[in-house]
Amino acid sequence: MINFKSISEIKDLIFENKNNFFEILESTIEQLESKGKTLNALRFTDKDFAIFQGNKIFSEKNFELPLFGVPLAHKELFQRKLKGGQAWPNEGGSESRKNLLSDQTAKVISLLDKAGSIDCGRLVSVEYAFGVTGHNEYAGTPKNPWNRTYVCGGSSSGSAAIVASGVIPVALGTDTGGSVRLPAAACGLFGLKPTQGLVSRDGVFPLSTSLDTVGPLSRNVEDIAKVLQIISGKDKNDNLSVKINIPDFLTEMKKGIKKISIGLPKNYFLDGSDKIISDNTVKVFSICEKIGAFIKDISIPNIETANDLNMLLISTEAAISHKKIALEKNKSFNQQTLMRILSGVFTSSEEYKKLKKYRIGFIRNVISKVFEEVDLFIAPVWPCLIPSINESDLGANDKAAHLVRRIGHNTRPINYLGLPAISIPIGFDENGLPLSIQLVGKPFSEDLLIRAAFSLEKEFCFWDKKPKI
Amino acid sequence: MVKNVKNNYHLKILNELEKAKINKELIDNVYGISKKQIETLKNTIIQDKIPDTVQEVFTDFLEKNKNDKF
Repeated sequence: MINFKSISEIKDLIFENKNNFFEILESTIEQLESKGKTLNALRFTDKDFAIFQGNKIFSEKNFELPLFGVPLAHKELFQRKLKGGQAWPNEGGSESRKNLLSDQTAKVISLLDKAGSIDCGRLVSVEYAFGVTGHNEYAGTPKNPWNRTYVCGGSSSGSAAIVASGVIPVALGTDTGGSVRLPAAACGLFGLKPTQGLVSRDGVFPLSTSLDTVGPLSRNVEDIAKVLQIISGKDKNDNLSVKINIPDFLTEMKKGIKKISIGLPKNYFLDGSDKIISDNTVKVFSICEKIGAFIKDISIPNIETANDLNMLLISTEAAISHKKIALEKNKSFNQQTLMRILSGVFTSSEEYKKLKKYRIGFIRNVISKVFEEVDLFIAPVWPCLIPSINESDLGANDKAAHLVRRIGHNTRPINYLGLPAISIPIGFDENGLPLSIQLVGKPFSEDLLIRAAFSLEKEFCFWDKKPKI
Repeated sequence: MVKNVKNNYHLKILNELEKAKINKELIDNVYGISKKQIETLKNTIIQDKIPDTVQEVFTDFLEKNKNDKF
């Protein structure tokens, strides 16, 4: 009933006829279950809870709520505690956490509840969110709606698959090394990674306490803006959360990009990507110029170091959080995940301190240099065409290792810098899979990223075409 | 199995992994990856007079650029 509809279109359907409220909810849950099964993207639905929440929202009749009656589902890392001591599973996509339950409700989930949305269930994540292809032996590997023999990317693979299949308008993911942007890009979605500190991570299963961020995936920029507005803001329970004036993203969205300066990185990003990727990225610059932006060549100092150190920081902090269970239940882990976590156990506390200290100076250097020259820059997301499930399966294919190591090349440094970025679909490759770029902005410039993304959305009209499920 | 390890901290960790009955080949791989990554860190130099947190870097940056208009 709400296939491929935006948040505002769903709300219009509800206001047109209030009887649609529960019909929309029930049909969405059915679609989550059927397409979720077809695409291996669903962990679970909770129809009883969704109906209970729907009844509460409907009876309160607060029709002004920004997400009144809109059914959503999110990556399985977002905890939910229920009344009467019950709770949703909190397995982190892993057999090692089988039957473990949430001990709280994630802050961002509470904010979406207050905004009137109906939480229908949880979507597949890569084990411990620690992978970029989307493979998951335990929960199942989500299939790309555009071509089901191809990956969705990771780790927010289920979120990307379900949103791209049209079932719901938006889903939340997490991004530590690219895990919102990579699956968004692979599935033709807009996926926003916010500035470190903008959105609370309280109640979200952690991978890296310094680098984890929470962000939305959607088929359109307006819905990204709406959800980001709701989930942004200071939270005392997240030690990295900052108090900052949150702009009105929807008002900013329509301002266009005339006279905005956009950087074309001459080092690292395009060189490290396949020619078809860099050629398609460069074409985007001409479109930006056409709609009024200025393009400037930039060079980002020492960015290759950011890639390596991001990996070390993630594995060190993953080891700090999960070493105990990794040792005790090592046989219940996918061997790749285990290897990634355990590669962080050898970092001493002195080395960890140095790692964090170096990062601070590095960020200061890069942002003062780059953003003195430009307002934002463009880079590819994937450095290569989206791979098939088989060719990128580390367990089954010896040649997959080199491919998988490359995938985070363009996304990881942005996480290391703590900067905001949004992936934008721009077309299709020879296999019928989406091609995408990312815009990267100054700290807390999500309003500018949303403006630029909205302008480009109108140029590329990616979602004039739909995948057939 | 990993040989010639002189770092006492690494030896301690390797013993923990062996005690947990983790596959020896995996231990070798993990140790190799870790050593390479830590080597990258060893080659970095910490700058003088940097803030204590990333949040402070961002706050300083925003303060410096607060008159930027788009």
